[in-house]
Amino acid sequence: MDLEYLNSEILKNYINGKWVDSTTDETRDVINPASGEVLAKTPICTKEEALETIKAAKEAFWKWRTTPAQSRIRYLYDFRDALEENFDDLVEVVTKEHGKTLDESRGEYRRAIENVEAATHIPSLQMGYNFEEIASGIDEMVIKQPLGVFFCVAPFNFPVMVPAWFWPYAIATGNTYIVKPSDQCPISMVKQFEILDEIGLPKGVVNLLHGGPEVVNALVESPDTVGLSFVGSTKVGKLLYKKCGEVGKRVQVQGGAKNFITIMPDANIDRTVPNLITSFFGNAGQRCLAGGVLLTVGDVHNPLKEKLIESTKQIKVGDGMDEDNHMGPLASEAGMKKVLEYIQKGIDEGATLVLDGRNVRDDESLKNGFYVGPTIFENVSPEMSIAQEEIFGPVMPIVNVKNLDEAIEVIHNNPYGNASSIFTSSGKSARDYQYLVKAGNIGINIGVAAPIATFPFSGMKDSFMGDLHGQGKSGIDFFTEDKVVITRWFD
Amino acid sequence: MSLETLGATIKFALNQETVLLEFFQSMQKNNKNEKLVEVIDKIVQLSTKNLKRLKRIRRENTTEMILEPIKGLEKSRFIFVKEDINKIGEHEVVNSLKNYLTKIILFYSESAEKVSFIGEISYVFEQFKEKYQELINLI
Repeated sequence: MDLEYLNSEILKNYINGKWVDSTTDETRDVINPASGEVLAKTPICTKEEALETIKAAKEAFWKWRTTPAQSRIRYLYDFRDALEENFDDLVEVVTKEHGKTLDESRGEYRRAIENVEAATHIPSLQMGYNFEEIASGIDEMVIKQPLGVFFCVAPFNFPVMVPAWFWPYAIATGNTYIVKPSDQCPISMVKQFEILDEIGLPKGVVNLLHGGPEVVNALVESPDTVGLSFVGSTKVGKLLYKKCGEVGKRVQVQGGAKNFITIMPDANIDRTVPNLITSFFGNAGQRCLAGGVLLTVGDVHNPLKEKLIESTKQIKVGDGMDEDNHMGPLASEAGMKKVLEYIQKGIDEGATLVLDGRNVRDDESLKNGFYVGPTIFENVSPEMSIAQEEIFGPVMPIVNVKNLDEAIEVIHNNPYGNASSIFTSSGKSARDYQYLVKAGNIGINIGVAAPIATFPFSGMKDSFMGDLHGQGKSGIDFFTEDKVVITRWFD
Repeated sequence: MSLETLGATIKFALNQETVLLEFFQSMQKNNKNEKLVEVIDKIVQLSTKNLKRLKRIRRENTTEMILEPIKGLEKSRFIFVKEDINKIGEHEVVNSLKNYLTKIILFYSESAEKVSFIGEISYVFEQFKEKYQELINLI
């Protein structure tokens, strides 16, 4: 799979089974964050183009909805096989446009493929249920029906996996779909749509539309779309959630996060440290499940901190295409600047910088990329910005607390509730944690509590708005509507 | 230089298998020792299969959420000293063969332990080690 042809080329939309040029003059550069090189340009499409895409998806709906599920999922089998066949090339595209390491891109693609595989279970998952004799001679059943045109607004941090939480299930259940990829990292979705085009999916069933707020507003406001899946900031998510509510649209919003990782004094430190490194510095800290604050309980603080610093110093930062590197750059220059600002805020607010990742770009080979090295703060108080706000970068603020109760209090004082983990060898502490902590995804001795495709990707408080999550049974319920049928036949 | 990531470790394994395969394929063509024919054929078959399996585990088992840095897997300890089969005397062939297999067994043995954070990959490395061990015992 060749990326060369993309150089500085304006990406196309895929609408109604055809690749089409956008009519817009406005574009955004897609930049390889490891080198600063421009890979392509994203067209910031117009409202008219959004309406044209919605029309195509709406027209395709009825024919697709009446296609038997077994036939619908055969396209997904073909798609899955094509992803496996082109795996190595597709993975490189993610690394080039996002910056994450090849291993991280492989992991992301695997998660995407697992979602495609899970969506092929639709003939079982979409089954309704029934009950005889709810009254004399009367039976009742539930049918799960598709609704129409759904769409997603996807983030830059997992440009392949996040859309795969949604669109495979949506089309497998008989809906049609519009993907609005991240304008920062859209090439991976373009490559997926090239495959979707090749497998011959009927026109209009899936559509790719690039753009920004104008396109998103048009998709939300249209009476011809039925639901939105959004993953991004809480600020934008809240606006979209409100808007969808006003126009009576289904919506699932995954917002921001500040994930607290609690280390109990009885934790196995040697096993915990590599987990923490993965959690805080994996994907250069740009996961919505990344560790956000490390809560050390009692006297575990010093021995843990020493081992953490020692291990973190070994992390090799560099181009994700080089298999020897552990950590790539931030995905954008703006992201890098934001992280650097937070590091400065941490210093200004009185935290102690014990490992400073700001100077990695002094290395000649990294100077053109958007790199920040792993950074660790201690003497952090829960009120500081670095302990309160989502940094989305490789920064580990360490807060020392007296006991588990205080840890939980700190966690609950934060507005987010995406994920939280505890490291302990005590079943009681682990049980209390999973029982009490208000976070959607809980990890017990796991630093990144990422649910697999058959479980919902949960989230609470300001990290999630909506009723039904992506993936799992929740995902199926989101893309279907329950219809109750009550029957009686006369003699 | 050490192998510090899963991707680097599997890439190294692929490279080692490729070098080993090329050596034994060339041995297949030039071998004059009848006692070794069968074992060389088996090694070529195994290495060919291993290459496919390595690509597959890299694709299927790289689990993003539990990727951990690897420590203490020094590349230089496993690198083959490449030998030109045409220049090896008949009596040295057995030693040469054993040297290659010993190095790859050592690599899979140590790397299986180092990648234990992903059980499926660790298991495959263990299997490779055992299969090469069986073959070295036939020589």
